[in-house]
Amino acid sequence: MSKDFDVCVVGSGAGGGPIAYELALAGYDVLVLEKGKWLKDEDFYKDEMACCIHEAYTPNLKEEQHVVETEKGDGWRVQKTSESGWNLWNGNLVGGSSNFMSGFFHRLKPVDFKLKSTFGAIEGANMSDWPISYADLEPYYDKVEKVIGVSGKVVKHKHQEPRSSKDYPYPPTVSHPISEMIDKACGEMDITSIPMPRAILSRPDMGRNSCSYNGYCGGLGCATSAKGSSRAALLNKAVATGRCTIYPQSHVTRILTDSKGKITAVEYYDKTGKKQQADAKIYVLACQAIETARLMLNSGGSKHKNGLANSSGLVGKNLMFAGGGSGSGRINYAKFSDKEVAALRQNGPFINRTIHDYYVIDDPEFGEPAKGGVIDFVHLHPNPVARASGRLSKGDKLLWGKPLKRDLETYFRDGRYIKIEAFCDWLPNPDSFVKLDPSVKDKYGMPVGRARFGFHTRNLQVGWYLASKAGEVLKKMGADNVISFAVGSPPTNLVAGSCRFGDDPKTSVLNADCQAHDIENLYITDGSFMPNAGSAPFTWTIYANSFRVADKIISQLGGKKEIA
Amino acid sequence: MNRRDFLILTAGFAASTRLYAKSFPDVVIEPDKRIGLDSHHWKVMDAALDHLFPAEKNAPGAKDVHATAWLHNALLMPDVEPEHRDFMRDGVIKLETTSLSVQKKSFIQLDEEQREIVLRTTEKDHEGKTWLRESLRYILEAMLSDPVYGGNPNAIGWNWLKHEPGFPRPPKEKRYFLL
Repeated sequence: MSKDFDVCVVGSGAGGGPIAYELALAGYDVLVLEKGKWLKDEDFYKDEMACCIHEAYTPNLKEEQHVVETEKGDGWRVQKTSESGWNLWNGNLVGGSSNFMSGFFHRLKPVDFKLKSTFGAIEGANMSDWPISYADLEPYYDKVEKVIGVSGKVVKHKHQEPRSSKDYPYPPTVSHPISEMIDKACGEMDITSIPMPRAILSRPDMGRNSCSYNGYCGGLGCATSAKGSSRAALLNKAVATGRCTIYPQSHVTRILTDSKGKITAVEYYDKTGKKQQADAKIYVLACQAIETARLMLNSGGSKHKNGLANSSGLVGKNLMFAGGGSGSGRINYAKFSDKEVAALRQNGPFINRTIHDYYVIDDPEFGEPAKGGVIDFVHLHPNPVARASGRLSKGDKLLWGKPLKRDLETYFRDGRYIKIEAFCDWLPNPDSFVKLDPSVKDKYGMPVGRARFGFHTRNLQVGWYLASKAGEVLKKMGADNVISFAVGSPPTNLVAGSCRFGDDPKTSVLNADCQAHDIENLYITDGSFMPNAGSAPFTWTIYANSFRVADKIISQLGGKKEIA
Repeated sequence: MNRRDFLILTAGFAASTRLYAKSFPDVVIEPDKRIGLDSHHWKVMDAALDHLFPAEKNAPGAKDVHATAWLHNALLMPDVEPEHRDFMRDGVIKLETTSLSVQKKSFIQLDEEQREIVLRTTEKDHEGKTWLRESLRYILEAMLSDPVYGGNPNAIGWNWLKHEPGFPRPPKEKRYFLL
């Protein structure tokens, strides 16, 4: 039977981009369905109104929302996102949320692939070793460095993961003077401070410009293509082959299957609101872990009565975010000369420092050896309305009038904050999942996803440990107002799990190739596949795994084609 | 709201800001009826915002950044929920009611000390506190958003706080509602 395309990819972010890029380069016809608009470099401005105050890149929550369940006493508080402060969308446009990432790039380490066998089971956590090893993924981490463009510098440290390339293809991005202060403090504490790898070009290459160093990276689109978004690094090139077609503003509502359970087409609403279908030989889902699971659960069929590829009953289960801690310290300018203050005031250069010394915690004060994580030091986001809005309370009272104005003057003009971001595993557990809400529907008439955000207490223990270690570094370097704390609330911009991979169809949704156990023409390449998501932001791993799966799909389709 | 209405609205945003700055220094005198506040209550709002963020010689205040016009027009943007618009409307009416009850005078007739008492009385109520926080947030938007949106004239707010904006900055045709 003739198909419109060889491969249909739903979602165009870090999970979908490598599939489109690799398949198009290999000579196959690819369709990418993206529910958001197709914005280009020239549409991205450093505009707090667009990114953050009015959330121009995510759907209207009255029309398309989620339901969240958060801990409340012994039960769960259930809230619609349209009636709360939650928003589980992370960027709906071509390139997905990779357009808005900060690009703090970390590989997972070998231990992450065998967490359960290394440290043993943890009560209350659904641990499982990966069906592949770090060595299987390493060539693809390496590929991401070169194709997406990762800048950095390899520094020897005790948890350095094996690398096939000696160093990064691009030198580190320019550092802020605070970086040297962190290096000095770490040196005095016998801690290794590492220049943080970034998915940002530090020099022009691959038809993309270098970073323009304006200090507004995370949460905002990149106008120079320096940031390695799926759009800038992959999809633009895939489209240029003539074999990749992108349908923007096309929202997929269901995946259709035949009597044997094989996928026959996807159903979507196009930009005019008309219901359409597209078919292909192979289908790839990459809508992020919550929306991918929701789409599968909304797609039944005679062979898939519990949702697509859900014979294990695990679609939507083991939802994960990034566990960890946070904190900050303030550098007060009064301690520095005018020349030093001028340098410290700069917004452009990055702090870009990370510590991996605690990736495995071997500290009697903590307890038995355990998986730890990564500490990143970064600038506080410079968006001024958000920063000023954080100054409106003093104790139980609101601050206003001249006292508020004096506070803002001190806060903005007399110093700057360094932010701690500490990452540990969000342990998969029975109270962290997504399912279909029984009553709330979106504007297409489909049930919305309902996510429960239960966290394991180990997240808090490790998060607190890491954040407090970071706090000690800030104190050592002379920062004031140092605070550090563990975070139980999920950072919903980093979402994984929900369709974990494994060798046993009874305990996993996908096989080692991220192909559904139940459906031979279905692959999933966003963060859904991960049994555990590492102790660092995992976008690099999503990219790398998607490149790996692309090779599997090319192989299934008969290998690379001869291209004239 | 269709695109044409939207463009008319945004044109009105700029126009009312200009009028506010040059011709009507005290208040937006032709309030949009969709918000449901009359001129008197807009004067109350103007006085409240002025008290919450007073103008000083070396530090701009709500009046310097056209905060009342900003709030008026922000409440008419298409993505603003009607419930929020009503909440902001009801907050002004309640503030005036509190003033008449506590001080026996309209809020706009009060001196600085009396206004502080009325606003702190308002803060004791949960909804009143939320309304005050929202009002302050609108002032900060008018003070620190890109001038292309009609507030922060000549980057007066950014310059005051020595804030460096990012670049490229949004041109008029790329404001968030036109993307």
